[in-house]
Amino acid sequence: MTVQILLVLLSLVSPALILGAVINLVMLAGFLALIKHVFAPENREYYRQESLIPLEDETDAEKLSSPSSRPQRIRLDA
Amino acid sequence: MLASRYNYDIVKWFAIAASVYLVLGTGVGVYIASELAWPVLNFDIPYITFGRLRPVHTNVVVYGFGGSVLMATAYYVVQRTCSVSLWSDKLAWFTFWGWNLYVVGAIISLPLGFSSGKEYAELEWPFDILLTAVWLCYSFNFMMTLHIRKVSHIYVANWFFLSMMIMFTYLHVVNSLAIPVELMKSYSIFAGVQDAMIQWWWGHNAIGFYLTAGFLGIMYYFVPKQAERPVYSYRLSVIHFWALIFGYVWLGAHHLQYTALPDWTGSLGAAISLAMIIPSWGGAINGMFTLSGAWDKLRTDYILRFLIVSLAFYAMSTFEGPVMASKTVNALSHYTDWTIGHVHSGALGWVAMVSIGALYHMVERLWGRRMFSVRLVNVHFWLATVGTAIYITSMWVAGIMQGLMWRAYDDYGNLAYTFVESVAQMHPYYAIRVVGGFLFFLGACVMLFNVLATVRAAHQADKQKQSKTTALQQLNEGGG
Repeated sequence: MTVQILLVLLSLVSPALILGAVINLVMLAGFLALIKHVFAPENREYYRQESLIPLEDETDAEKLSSPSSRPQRIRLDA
Repeated sequence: MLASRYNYDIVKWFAIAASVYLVLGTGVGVYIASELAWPVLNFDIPYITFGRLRPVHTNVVVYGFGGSVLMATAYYVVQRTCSVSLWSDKLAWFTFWGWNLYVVGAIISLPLGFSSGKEYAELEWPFDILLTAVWLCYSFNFMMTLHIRKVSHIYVANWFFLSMMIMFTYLHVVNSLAIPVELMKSYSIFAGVQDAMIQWWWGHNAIGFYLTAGFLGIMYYFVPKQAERPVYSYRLSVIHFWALIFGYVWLGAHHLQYTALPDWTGSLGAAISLAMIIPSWGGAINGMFTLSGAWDKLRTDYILRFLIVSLAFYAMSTFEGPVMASKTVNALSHYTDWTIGHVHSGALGWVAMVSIGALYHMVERLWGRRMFSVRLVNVHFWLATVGTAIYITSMWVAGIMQGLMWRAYDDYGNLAYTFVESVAQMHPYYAIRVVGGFLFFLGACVMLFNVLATVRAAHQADKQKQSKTTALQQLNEGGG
């Protein structure tokens, strides 16, 4: 039975399957490395700083005016 | 208006162009939807038949509206997040005029019958070359602005814009490879099943990179900005970016299930499509959770409503898409109006809504004042949301009914319905679709009016300020 299963599996092996498997393995390894890098504790501060970029991009002139459709909020920096 | 160290003039012009094209594109959409419900509206005039106006509709909304929004937002975001003005203002203006020339070319040449027949890339070869030149200038200007940035980090929104620029160039050039035989006639170098595969490799990746990655770039800047809080998980956005970029390029074959294409390619397309739910939902959840602890903002902030509702539609359509890509569902849904419903849940619900939110946000900041009428922004929100919901539900029902009618057999193994019977059954749903589309179009008109009124008010305020300054100067000179 085991031999039969192995033979069936062997018959499925083709260049396309090997290529697909290799590509998948490379992609999985790449993502694993990426996840490890991004979620490494030493990189936490780096990404925290990066996430604040849109919130800190206002020029002084923009900070003084608040042309927003939101109700006006108290500006601590005004 | 605020004096700025950035080039905002180009952003302003693209923002206004986008508002105009939204009205134009959805207007043509409503008209062709009406033609399907009431074919008499063709008036036997070849220039306004469905076949010729449909690509006008898609080109104006995809390139006219979508492209203008992408250029406006990319130029706006890259300058602000890099703390530097655009690398070249001249190149930026070239992209504005070149892009508009392309869209106007579509509006004129397509009704006249000049078409390459490639979906979402119908324009003939001179326009293909123009589009390539403009897009390369846009990409180069963006990249050089990143290169001269004064901030060490590259914010994630810029990564999304960058991926869109690179992939769109690749897709557009390969898909448009053709042999010109006349000024306005060419033949694709691909034929048969290869042509179909290239068509959908282009077609789905244009959705994946142009209409998804680009607009995720918009989302990652404007949602945190409008919500006044950093994105829920910045690190998830990085993972989500790479997963999306690596996954999307494999999907195109799911458009060609049960065709002459090798079966394994369709299976691969379907399998990767299902896997893509993970990164797509990663982005949608990341955007929505940015509001964690501040959901009350949705009660008062109409711009934020557009942005968050767009994410709900994004999540919905990126779940629906993979389901439709699976072979079992595809057997029912393919060639039916369900596909049209799916496309519009993404196009109206996701792309247009996030664009509209970003446009309102930018208009307020570019012209330095609140929208002319906040109430009209709210009216626009409800018109767009209800219009989209009516549109897509009518197409879902119509599509599933079509699929079921086409596959129904009687006791003797014959088809239970003729094709024309299924067409006749569509009439009420096509009429309902017109209502949904019209509501969305009405919302676009409201937006255009509101934007132009805001710009006008800003200019008037500027003039008043200038005349006051002049009067004060004269007074001082007289007194001195």
